[in-house]
Amino acid sequence: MKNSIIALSILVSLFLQGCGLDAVENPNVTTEKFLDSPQSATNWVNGSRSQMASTINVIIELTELTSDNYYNNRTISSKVFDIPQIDYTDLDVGRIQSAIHSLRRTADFGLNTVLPNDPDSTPEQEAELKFYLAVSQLFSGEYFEALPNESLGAPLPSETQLGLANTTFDEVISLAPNSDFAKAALIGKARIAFHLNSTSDLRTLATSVVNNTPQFTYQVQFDGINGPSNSFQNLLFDSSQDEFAPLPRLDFLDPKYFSIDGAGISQIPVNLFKSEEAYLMLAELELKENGLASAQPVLVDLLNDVIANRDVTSIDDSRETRSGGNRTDYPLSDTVKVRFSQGEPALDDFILDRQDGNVSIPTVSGTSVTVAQINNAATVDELLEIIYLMRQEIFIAEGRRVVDLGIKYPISQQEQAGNTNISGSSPYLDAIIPGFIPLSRSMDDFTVDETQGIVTIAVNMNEELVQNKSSDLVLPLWQ
Amino acid sequence: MLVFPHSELPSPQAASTLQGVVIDAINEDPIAGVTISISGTTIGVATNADGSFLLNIPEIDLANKSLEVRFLGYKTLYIPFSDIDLEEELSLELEQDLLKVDEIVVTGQGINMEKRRLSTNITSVTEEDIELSSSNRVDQLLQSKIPNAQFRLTNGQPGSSSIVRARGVVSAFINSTPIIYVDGARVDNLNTAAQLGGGSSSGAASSSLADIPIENIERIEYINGGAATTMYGSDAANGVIQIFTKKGGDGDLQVSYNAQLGSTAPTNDYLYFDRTADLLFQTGLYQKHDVQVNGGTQKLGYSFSAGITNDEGFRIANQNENTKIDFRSGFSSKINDKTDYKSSFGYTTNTFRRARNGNAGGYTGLWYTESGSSSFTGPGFNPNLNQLSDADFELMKNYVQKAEETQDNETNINRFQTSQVIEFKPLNTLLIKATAGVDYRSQDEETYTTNEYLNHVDDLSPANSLFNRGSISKFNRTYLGLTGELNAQHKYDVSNFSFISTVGTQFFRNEDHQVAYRGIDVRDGARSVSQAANTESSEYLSEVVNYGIYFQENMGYKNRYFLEFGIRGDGNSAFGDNVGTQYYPKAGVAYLVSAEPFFINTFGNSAFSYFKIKANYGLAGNFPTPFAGERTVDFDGFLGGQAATFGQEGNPNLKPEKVTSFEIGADFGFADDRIFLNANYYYTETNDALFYVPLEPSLGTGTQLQNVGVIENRGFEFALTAIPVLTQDWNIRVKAAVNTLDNKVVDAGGASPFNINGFSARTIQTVVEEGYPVGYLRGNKGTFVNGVLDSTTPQAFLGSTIPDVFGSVSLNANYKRFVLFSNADFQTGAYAHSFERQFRFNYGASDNNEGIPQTEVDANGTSNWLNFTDHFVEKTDFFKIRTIGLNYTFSKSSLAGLAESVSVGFSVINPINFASSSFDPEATQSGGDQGQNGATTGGIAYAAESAPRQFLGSIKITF
Repeated sequence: MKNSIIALSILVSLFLQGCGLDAVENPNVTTEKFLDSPQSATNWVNGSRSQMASTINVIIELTELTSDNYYNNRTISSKVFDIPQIDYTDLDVGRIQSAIHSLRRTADFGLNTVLPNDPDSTPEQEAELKFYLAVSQLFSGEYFEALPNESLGAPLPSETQLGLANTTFDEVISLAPNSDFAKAALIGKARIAFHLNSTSDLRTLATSVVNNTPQFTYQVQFDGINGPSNSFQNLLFDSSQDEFAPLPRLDFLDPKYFSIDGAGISQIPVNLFKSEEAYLMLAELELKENGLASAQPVLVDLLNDVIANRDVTSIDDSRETRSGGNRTDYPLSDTVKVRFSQGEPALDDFILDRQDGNVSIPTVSGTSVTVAQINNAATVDELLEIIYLMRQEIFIAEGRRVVDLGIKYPISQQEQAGNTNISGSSPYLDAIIPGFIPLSRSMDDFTVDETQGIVTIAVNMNEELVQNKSSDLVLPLWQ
Repeated sequence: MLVFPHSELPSPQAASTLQGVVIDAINEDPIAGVTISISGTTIGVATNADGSFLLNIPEIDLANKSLEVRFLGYKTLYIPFSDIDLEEELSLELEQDLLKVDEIVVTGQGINMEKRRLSTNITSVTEEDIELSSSNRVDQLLQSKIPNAQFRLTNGQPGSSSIVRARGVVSAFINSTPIIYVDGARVDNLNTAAQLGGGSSSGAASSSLADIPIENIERIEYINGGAATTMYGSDAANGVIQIFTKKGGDGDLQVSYNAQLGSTAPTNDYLYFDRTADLLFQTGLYQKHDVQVNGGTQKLGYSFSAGITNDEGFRIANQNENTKIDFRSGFSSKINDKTDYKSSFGYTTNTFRRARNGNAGGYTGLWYTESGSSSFTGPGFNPNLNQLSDADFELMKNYVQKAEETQDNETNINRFQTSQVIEFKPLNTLLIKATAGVDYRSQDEETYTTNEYLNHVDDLSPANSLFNRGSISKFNRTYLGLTGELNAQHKYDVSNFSFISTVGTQFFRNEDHQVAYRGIDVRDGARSVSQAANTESSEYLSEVVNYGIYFQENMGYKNRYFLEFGIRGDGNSAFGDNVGTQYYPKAGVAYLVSAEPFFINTFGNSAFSYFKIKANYGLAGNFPTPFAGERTVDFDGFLGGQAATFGQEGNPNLKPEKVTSFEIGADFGFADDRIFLNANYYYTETNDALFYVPLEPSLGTGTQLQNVGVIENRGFEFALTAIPVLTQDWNIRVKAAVNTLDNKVVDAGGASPFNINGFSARTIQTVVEEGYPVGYLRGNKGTFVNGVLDSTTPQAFLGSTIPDVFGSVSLNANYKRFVLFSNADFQTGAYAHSFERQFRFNYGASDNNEGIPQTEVDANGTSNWLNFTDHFVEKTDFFKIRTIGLNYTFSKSSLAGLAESVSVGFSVINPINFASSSFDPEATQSGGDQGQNGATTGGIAYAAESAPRQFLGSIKITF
């Protein structure tokens, strides 16, 4: 009888096989299948663009909170980076680290596996992937004290990462010298020279940008339908809730990203490398080396030749009421004046009245600084503070401010736990927060004098930066 | 007691017949459907409606054989043929089996097995228990009825998921819902996740347990994992529920009509503001009608049922309306002397609506009223509803009324099930059974978010109103489950030994196909995505095939010593490429001490009437996520082109997580079985537990499914049944069960702690971490000095979400024709977090700052609200009465022949709750309930409704 059971079992399994019921169909594409398919390089390069967008999303959201630019007025994102409190156990530290490594790994896999495997791959594609690799190395050096440059590798300190980025940018330029990636790489190299205080390189590179590509900007694009969309745009504008609030003296620049259609489909790109940066670095270098008179014309040119030509869009932002929930005293009327700190004058034109018709918002660069302000600066420190105010305003919502503030994130606990190159007592597990940075959310704090209609910012961080310019954590040119 | 006329040795060779009648020993009513068979053979017959039978006895040797007289709920009679005179008509009296020790069970055994032979526990829920219950879904029906398991509804809205938990939490990878079989066919228990954000209409999961047809159920068997489920292999670590449906039988045509009419009222016990009930809740009409037809002959039995339920629900604007229609048919037919055919078909259509809740975002009713978001949502109000003036409250009421009315969503489920069984008895000692089953379930969800709704909830004036934000979201999930099983059971008695050998092979295939599509920028009135300015869509497909082969042997000696052992081997398409067949062995012993002569001599039959000891060991598994083993590339569109990015990391070594279980236990019967106690101790260890391990960031990828963990559970289980009163008029039965539970992740295999169902690390998470129970609450712990927050410990242990002790109690009291019934369950030792309280503090909606010192509020306002999350965690001990009801059955004589029987009843569902927490210990934030694939332990209460309170009158008429 057992024989007949076995026979029946065989019959049943033959039936199942005949009907295809024993097989499963994997709806996904395995890595091997992908590598064997045509146009794999094209698809991977486009995927790398998408990864670039995902990476910058994480960086902007979390670093803007850490800086004095934005305050989390609801619960959706980090509540401690505003303090700033940065623990290596914080999963958001791991998120930033992962975002950077994902970009690196995507570029690495493309360069080492996909492109060599696709006979149709081009040097331009290689240049683009090298560019993303360089960006990941630049970010590693700018935002972290040290990070591995390979999976579970030994942590490389910031300066080493910046050096790697510099070399990779050079490869980008030599692979596709006329591409936008090469133009962006030049600004990237200038930034690295700035961080490393390589003044002659900085002068050469920045001057080249100012002379050759004064209107250039390299933008990270987003896809509002398929994603990734600009997540900071969602936080600033598209979300029906008022998530993040800018420091009141930056109110006039918000929201840098918005959807014209109101439905979150149209996307404003993020500027990753723009010529303004070359002007600002060159001006600072001139100020350091040659004094006020050499720096002022560079900044005036920046206002007149570059920023004046950047896009400004008129938008309906009437939904913005700054009523996120944690703080409800954000100023909403253009009659409110702003003091940059206690004792400074109360200034007009920093607060927009969003209920009174459309508001005009610069989508690339905007600043409150005028030619007169620049030319009236009487001391080096005065102009230096103006430069850092301009940097803050021009780079708002681009994830740059936290670098100017000298804050560096630690290696995350997740990495330390599984990476044998990083011991539990590694100094890289503590964040770097310069001592002059006020804690307890003071960077985002302000007081409101309702009777006089004046908002006073608790701390003028640009003033603090200038006063602490000799600190080896900030203002690298002044060491 | 057995009454037989006289003794005479039967003629061993000649074919003959035996006639008789079977009656109930107490009321002397004839019993229909009693199986009369010859031991050790498959020769048998069933009694007719008048209790009579005629058994044809072929030419076999009856020397060592007995007549077995068996009927569910009665003690089995074994009468040696040496004591039977075949010439005389037998009159047999059956005694009620208070312990059900001789009950025949199927689940976990391949084919039939007597409970007395088993070393494991099987719980059966009978038709009578089911009929008394007014529940309309199978998990709610089982609440308080399974002594060793918890069935917790996570939300009161229709279609909500439940958390079913028995022997702890054996997995941090898959939910603890048992697999479910209907008549041998494996059905969808939503153990594959809704991957596309669908399946979570209005922010809450939809459970497929809510639409398993519950009409016409004859019996439910439940086994809770371990050795009992070994024969189910790679799929059964959380236990098995098996539903058996009626197939009709020999007897007169019986038609019955059953109606329930009543109301569904909100459970307001846990509301912070009384006014919330005025804003959001209503009392809805509930009605249910069903018709059942049963009948047949010895050759053909049939059973049909059809039912319709309509419940307006407890949310205003009938936003919880639920309509369910069930059909079920069952057939049994005797093709010839050796072959039986049984089939069942079931069809359910279930349609419901849900109010936005939990994490649906924007305006959600409970978040608005109970959590204080009214301070900034819409026009903005004082979020402390107690302080609102009548005029302001009226304004808020108007706002809420329209916000609720303009929500527009519907979920529709169509489900078809069938099971086809052929039983073939080629020999008197051999039964071969072939089962084939299909479960097809299609779930369609539609959500229309209109501009009218959005403009209203954002309080935009007509001049500022926007008309391009409307959206249509649709989601479809189809599940197809195929089951095929072929097994054979051989019974062999020799001398004092009996052997029951079972061998079988089982195949199942699950397909889960999900499609989500969405239209954005839609004008109001459009009902099709094709009318949207922009559209997006997504698709998910999962397929898995499992082949299993098993063998088990159950050996008995003198019908009191039993040894069982078995093994199952499984191949499964979800295993990694490097993983072959997986084996699950089991072994157990059972010893019926009370059947020993010395025991009977010592204790007699009454004082200490039953004593059985047992021990077992066994394995069961959970297979990994289909296709998770493969390293893949993902494709998305990006800026008009194909974009390839890293997909899943893949893992060719993926294998099932295996739960090894050891159990010892004993059953005690006292006072002539009037008191029965079952006691067990179990220890389970999950090896190769599947964790989604967060990888080191420098690997540039997210998580990887790995077999790295070890989880242990241990506990005692006690179940007591007592019948303090049993007379002609009275029958009072009390049941109580108490279980302890100790759960711990013994080894996380180096994986960093990971969150299974909470929010972000700075708020509240339910976490898996080595050294802690699965899903413990982790968040910020604040230390106060002089009433002001001094310091915060991040990611601190805030309590376990798994109870230390849980159990149930029930009472059934029959007096003449009245039945009073009630059941309840309880737990202690678990904790949960109330995000509602935390939000109330943050938004200043609370009367007393939720217990946070005023000095802290004076110093820091509410800015520290996330820095002392421990203050919003509470112990969640509860005792909840699930049902109280009273039934009365009219005497046949009073019906004057108009009907066979009429009974009327009244019951209240969820009438009384006691809880140590200020919130409902069972209500779980939507998304945190999961109910689908993802492991969950509950533990976060946030904007979720409690199961409603229902008041139901019923009438049942049988013709």
